[in-house]
Amino acid sequence: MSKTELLVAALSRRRVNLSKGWYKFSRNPLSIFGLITLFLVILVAVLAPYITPYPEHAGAFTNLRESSQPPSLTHLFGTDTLGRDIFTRVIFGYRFSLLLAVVVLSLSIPPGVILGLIAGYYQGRWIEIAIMRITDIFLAVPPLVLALAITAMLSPNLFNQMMAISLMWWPWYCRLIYTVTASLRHEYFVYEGELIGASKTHILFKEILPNCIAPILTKMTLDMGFVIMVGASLSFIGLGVQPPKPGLGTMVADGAKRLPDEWWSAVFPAIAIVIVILAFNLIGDGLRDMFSVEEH
Amino acid sequence: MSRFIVLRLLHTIFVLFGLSLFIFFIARVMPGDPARVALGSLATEEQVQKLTEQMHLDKSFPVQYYSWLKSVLHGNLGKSLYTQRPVTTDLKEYLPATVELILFSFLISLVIGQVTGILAGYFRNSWFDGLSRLTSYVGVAIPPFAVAIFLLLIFSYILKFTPVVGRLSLTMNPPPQITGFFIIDGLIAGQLGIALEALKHILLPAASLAVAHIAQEGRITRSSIAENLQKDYVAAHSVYGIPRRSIIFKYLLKPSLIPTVSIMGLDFAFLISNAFLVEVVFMWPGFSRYAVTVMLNKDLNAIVAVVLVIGVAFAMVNVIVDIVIAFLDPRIRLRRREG
Amino acid sequence: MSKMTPLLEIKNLHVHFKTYEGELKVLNGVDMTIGEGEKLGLVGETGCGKTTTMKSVLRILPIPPAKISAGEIFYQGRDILKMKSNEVRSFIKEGITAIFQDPMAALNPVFTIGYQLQDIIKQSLKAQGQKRLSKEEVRSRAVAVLRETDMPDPERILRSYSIQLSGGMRQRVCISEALSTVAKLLIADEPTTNLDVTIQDQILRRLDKLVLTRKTSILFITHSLGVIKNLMERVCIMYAGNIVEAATTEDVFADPSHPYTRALLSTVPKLTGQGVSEGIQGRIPDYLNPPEGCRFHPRCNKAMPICKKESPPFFNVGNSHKVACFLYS
Repeated sequence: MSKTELLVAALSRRRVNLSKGWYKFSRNPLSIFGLITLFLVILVAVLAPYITPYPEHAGAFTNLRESSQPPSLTHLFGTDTLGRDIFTRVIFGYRFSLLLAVVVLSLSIPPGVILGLIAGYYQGRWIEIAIMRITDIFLAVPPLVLALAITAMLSPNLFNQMMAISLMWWPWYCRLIYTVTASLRHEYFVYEGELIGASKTHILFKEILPNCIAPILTKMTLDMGFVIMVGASLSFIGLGVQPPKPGLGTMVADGAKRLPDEWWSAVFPAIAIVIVILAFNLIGDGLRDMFSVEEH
Repeated sequence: MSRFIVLRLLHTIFVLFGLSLFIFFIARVMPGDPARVALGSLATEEQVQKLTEQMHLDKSFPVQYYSWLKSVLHGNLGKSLYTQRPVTTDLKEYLPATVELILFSFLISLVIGQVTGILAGYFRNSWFDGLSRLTSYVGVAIPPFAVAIFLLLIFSYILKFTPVVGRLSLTMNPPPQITGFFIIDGLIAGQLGIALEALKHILLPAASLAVAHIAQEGRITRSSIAENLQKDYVAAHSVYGIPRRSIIFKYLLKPSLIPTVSIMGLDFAFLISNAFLVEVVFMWPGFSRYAVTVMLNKDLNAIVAVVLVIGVAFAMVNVIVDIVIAFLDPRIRLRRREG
Repeated sequence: MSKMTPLLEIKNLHVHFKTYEGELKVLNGVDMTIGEGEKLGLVGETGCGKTTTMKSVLRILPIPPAKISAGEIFYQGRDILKMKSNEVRSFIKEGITAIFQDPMAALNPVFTIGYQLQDIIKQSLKAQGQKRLSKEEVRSRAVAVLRETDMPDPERILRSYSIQLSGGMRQRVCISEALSTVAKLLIADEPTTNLDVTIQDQILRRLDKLVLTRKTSILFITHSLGVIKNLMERVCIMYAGNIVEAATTEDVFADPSHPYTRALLSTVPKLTGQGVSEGIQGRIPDYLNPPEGCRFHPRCNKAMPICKKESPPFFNVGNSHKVACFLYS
């Protein structure tokens, strides 16, 4: 076969792989459901000021005449003790959650991946030992605990929360990429790169990294949900989004004090959290299926 | 095998050492004056100065760390500024409550999670499997504090089945301290009523903790069993005459449990962090709630001690998990020996 | 050959697999018989359906995605496809045994060899109704059966795990396992394909010896004609889900009738003569859309119009020599 034919064959194989991948993904109705749900959540969060009935309630607002109303047609999720519409606040709360997830992962993935690549490539040298021992230290304690400790010791607000969680998150990616890189280290394509004198940067980023894309993407998707959960947990204890801002965890904590009479103040924000985490999990699972090699 | 354990222990000690350095560093470096916070805003300058000297806060970092390390090695974790007691006393008081909670929740998740996982994996694609998979998806997505709230709402308020807070109702006295576990101590001391009451109080918090684990571990068991059912050796066993029951409970179970056990170590970390939230919701007087409190109050000694305790617990669990896996899976044992 | 009821009779077996791309119609009406004490070879290229046939007989086909869409399999006169699974288990358990292609996959990695082997022996004794033997007796039987396959140091093998053994040893363990049951039929699925050439010969010799002493029938599945020539009495040639020719080994080599058989034989490189041949033109059919009529017709240089329309039945071309080809109608 001529070179052109080979190239065309390779490209069409890639297209087939993508479409096959999408087919695998779409074969799972739960993943599609997750995708649609997430899309709706993002849409609603982005358009929050325009589509919510009482956008001004998403901050410091008081209307004591309407306080503690159960769910009704005017207030879908009811109101809290200050008379604020919970439905609106939940939608605005999604903004914080999504922002948190995006920021934390953007901050933690690049350094984690780079360190993991370096550590996996330079196995046995001091730099690998140094990087991995530091990673081990961070991984010795559950992420929530350290994030809690750090946020508590700084002043509790969303920004510090994001910094603390990011600081806890990069080691997971470091370890993941380290494992993949270490296993690929001795594959032939790496040796070939070294032989022809390719720069280390090229080998790491153009040869090894593409092999990591699948696990990174899967983990990243699942992590989005997980970061939101950690963030909500921190807010619940009082270390995250501070009132009067409508953080979802903060709202649940608020509502928890008034169980069971004003159950709506706690239940609806809690359900909102579950929905967004569930969406990410379903998509992540679908991605994992998509990337897995089928045996036949 | 023993070489393996020794290496792990050394590694763990190193990690804990690094951890203590790290947390100590953060604790000392953070803004705010801990002495002032401890004494309150009405303290005079002298009192603050005296406490600062007492706590070595005016010395340089390496000196502080060194003196702290020395006292730790003597079993003294310092004094908690919040409770005004030695931290070790605080730990002794609060740790058993949390351990009891964790053990109970582990029991629940083991029984429910593994049984459903095995059944779902064996009856793959049945309605039971589908249902358990759906519930496990949701189970993993619910933050533990939300689980706690939902359970509280349903069982305590609506059904009035379980009590709301604490380890025992306020009118009761705890049983004599033997293990620190109210249920066991109650049984040992013959105070059945108290033991029963303690049991009722522990149900919801333990269940809240267990939900995420049932979902996660059940899923892994399920897919592990489903996967191994397809393996050639299962077919081979069947062809060579081994009865179905034997295949399932012996030859299938052992290899299938290996992935589940391996994530138990990691899951334990989440168990610890989830305990923080659950204890807060149920006002469970345990170690985690103590930890949250001291962190919110910037109580240095206690914070460092708490983080270390968690680190030690986590490391111990990981070592145990590794040993159990090496025991279950000869491939790991042998590969290690052969280097 | 006497006209006894054959031990195993496969009639018109159709097996389909459901996959992402569609339905693979792998087996297209397989017909095969094995008599008692008979040694039958099943030869065909990789992918022609040999292993699927075996799995159907052993009833270890993964039923979704596989599906037995038509056909019957008679073992000792009874249709095992119509039996319920627990009936089948007791019926064929002590009748059919097998050696699988990949010995590593066929052994449970987390149990010792001894544990698995002794369990098999115990079950076999129980099924025969013999009274329970003590642990030592079972163990010595295990050692004995390992010795039969010329295993060095059987005691140590019993204590080992599959991961510690070499490929040849693993396969010998599998053979021991197969022989521990009192089977009338042994199905060997390419037992030597994954082994070194030097070991292959030894294993084959052992198999031969063992089969002789125990009077088991054997269905030997392989893609290599050379193995068949020396060991098997009869041969079935399989192509793309059909048996295309069935005869004694002698006849197949002396008088290959089906065009596929002829092509197969000609691909065996000869050291004298013109050297290496070109191989068979074309490729095995796509099971998603298999050719109509005779599945070999696209590659056959003797194809006739009828071959494209109808699937050929068996025609007799000699003493117990059948060919599924319209050339002989």
